[in-house]
Amino acid sequence: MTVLGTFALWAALLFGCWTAAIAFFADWRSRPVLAAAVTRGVYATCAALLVATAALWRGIFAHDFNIEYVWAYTSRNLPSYYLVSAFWAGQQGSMLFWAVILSIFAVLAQTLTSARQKHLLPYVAGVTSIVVSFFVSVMLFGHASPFLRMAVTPPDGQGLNPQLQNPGMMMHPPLLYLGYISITIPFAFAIAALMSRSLDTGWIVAMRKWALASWLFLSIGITLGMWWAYVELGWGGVWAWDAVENAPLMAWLTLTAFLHSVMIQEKRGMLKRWNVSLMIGTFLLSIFGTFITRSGVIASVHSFTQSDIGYFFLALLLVAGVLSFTLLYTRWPMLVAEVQLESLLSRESAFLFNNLALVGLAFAVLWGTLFPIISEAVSGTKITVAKPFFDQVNDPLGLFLLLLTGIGPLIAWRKASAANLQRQFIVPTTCGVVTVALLVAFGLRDMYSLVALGLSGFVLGTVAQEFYRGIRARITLHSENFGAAIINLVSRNRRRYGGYIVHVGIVIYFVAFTGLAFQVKKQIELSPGESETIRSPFGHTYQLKQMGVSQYTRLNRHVTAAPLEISRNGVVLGRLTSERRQYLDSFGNKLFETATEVDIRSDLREDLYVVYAGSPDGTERSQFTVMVNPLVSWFWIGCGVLIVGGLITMWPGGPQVRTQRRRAVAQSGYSVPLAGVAE
Amino acid sequence: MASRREFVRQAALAAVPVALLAPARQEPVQQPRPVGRAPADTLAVQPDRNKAPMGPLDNDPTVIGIERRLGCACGCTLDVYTCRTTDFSCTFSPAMHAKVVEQRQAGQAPEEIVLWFLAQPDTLYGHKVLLMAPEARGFNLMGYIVPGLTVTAFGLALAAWLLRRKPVVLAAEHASGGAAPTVPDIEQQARLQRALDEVDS
Repeated sequence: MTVLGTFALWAALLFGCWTAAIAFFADWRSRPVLAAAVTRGVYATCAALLVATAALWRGIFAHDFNIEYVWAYTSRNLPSYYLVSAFWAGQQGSMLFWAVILSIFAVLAQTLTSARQKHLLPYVAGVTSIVVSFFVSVMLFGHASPFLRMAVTPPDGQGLNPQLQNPGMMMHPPLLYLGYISITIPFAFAIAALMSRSLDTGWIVAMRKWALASWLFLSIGITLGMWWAYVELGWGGVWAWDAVENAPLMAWLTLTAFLHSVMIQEKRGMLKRWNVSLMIGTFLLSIFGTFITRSGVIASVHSFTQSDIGYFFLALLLVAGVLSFTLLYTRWPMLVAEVQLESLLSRESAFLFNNLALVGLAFAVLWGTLFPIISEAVSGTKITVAKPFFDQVNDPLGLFLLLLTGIGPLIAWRKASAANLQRQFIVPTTCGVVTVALLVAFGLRDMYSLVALGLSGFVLGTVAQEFYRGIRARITLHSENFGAAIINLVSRNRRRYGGYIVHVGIVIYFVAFTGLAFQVKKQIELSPGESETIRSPFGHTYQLKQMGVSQYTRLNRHVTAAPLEISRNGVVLGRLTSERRQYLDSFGNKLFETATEVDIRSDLREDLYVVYAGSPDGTERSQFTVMVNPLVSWFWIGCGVLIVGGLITMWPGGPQVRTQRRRAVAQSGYSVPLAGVAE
Repeated sequence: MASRREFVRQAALAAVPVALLAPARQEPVQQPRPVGRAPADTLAVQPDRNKAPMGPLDNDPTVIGIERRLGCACGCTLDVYTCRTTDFSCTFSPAMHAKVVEQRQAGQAPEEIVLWFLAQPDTLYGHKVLLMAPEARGFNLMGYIVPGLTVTAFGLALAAWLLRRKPVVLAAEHASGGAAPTVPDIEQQARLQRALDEVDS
């Protein structure tokens, strides 16, 4: 298998380089056979990488511990579903995973792009082939091949890290990778547009769904990462501003900015330079994130092993940055806006400020991530920049962004009048004010929370108003009933109303973050039969009664389990059993340090979160960390809403032609702010 | 000394109860013990090494406040409090917690305790103890203000640029005799919708 896998990697490298060479240097415009050869080169690269993938999986499932990667990340008694996730659990496997997924995306880009944008495809193939070849090169030349053999074959492997033995880790890394990797496709379209000088909206139409898909994958991947951190790491939080968490967030922020500003280009022919710059920047941030994760240059709680391959990514980052921005510079005069901004009070301006907030937030995250290095270089003193710093710097920017999320849809295109503003803002502002008043009446006094929840009320008011007006217009114009009106409204304006649903999802995230700030945490120590209480921010009193400790062996681990009987306000709710797990290999040898398995009781208001911390003196008297985490379920609900909104936005079809015609009409002087009716 | 015959007879007699008792000596099935009924209240396997009993100040808000400001010396990027209540295999955070409690019980003020940790050489815990967020002074002040200042500066520049364009647009509107478009009422919207539908078709 290792010979086959290595051979497949070399073949993929050969095919990738060949494809890129033809795409960028051959005259495929006058010789269609060469253009076809480029496409076939993409297919061949993908096929070779699929063979390499099959070879690695064969080695993993066959427990071929002579393969260093299989030995390092699996063991004979590892459950088979974790054998699947072992593929991307380590540095080398994740590199192959990245390469094969990108090659599959490259094939999809070649096959799914409409005929009108076919002229971009050879360049797209060239860019994707370069990136794929880079990853294969790192594997082959950076001592990062998953097919390296060992001098002797050990009887068993070292097993999978306990923290990766979680269902969330079967989904979180692949989805995050899908997001990261798929960014390459819209970037490739941007470069193709620059190289081919086809700088109309064609490239945007071709890559829009890719950008949306990438954004959706990143959103889900990031949220699954939050979920994994919450249920597996035992600290009761979802976001620690760790460098590896920050990396996809930065790309997500700039991609979000792009998805907003690209609408201005589609509707008004403006911000062309900015959009290309944003797409290049997003791709570079995805590579930067990989550099952080792989190099170990920045301290992180869950980066890969420190290795030299990070510097391959630094080189790619620099080369890609220089070449991309040089190309952009050479095409600068061709990217002139078709019309000019007319007013500060216009939706275009609101989108610009929204972009400023999103990119500013991405910059703040980048700044905080790099600041320890900068500070040490300047002052010579080592510092840590962690959650308190990021909270202090980013919270105001986040609230500013939330405010703009509510303002943007309220302002008319081109130029808003005072009457328009008054009419549009009154309901959302009332919603925000009423929200704050109610919260104050219920005793909330924390200023940040009041602002965050007040702004959330404002944004929800905006979205509700937009839906109400749209539905009312449809009922009036088309005599539809309410159900038909809402379905037709959304289906005929998928991007707009899907976007509003995404906004609701984002608001829910903000609300959940605000709730989690009121976490209550307590350490307790109990003998069997003893109980302790903890009071939740919502005023409930939980009683936790120790029910003893049991020990047993299950699958690949020895478990020490400590159940607690839970009552709320005197009513028994059931048991929460958290565990300490000692993972073993098939010979019963200990693997890794003892790991914690938390247990959580969730409802819409709050989670009761129990962590068994261990038993002093070898008795059943046990310590627990107990937390009450308000509103955590709303993170997962927010993610669901966001997915629904994203899928509506991406759904194929829709009135694309109509939008373009409207843009033509609008630019020829037919300018009316169609608030509530159409875009 | 017993004869060979005697030896065989005794062995056979001894084998009878062994054979009868054999079914009762099957391998015990591994299953969870009933909760709360462990023999002598002890665990067969100690899940953690050196787990210390809880102290009186483990939930003390002042102690927690101090520990939240200090990064754990194990290099986990967590603060001492989060590390000691999360990573139960860490040996650094319990030791640092014990030191915080000791100094607190000795009457030290929180700031003094923090400064004591920061003044220790990196040989004490293996790594230098650092604050979770740098003090906002000297160059580190830049860390706090640069993002906000940058966004504010760009925002003001953007607003100024947009406002500067306003007179030109107004002049153009004045020249054309047109007023700023107003929001149509529902009937106007209906007419517009029909017009747009005609364009669509």
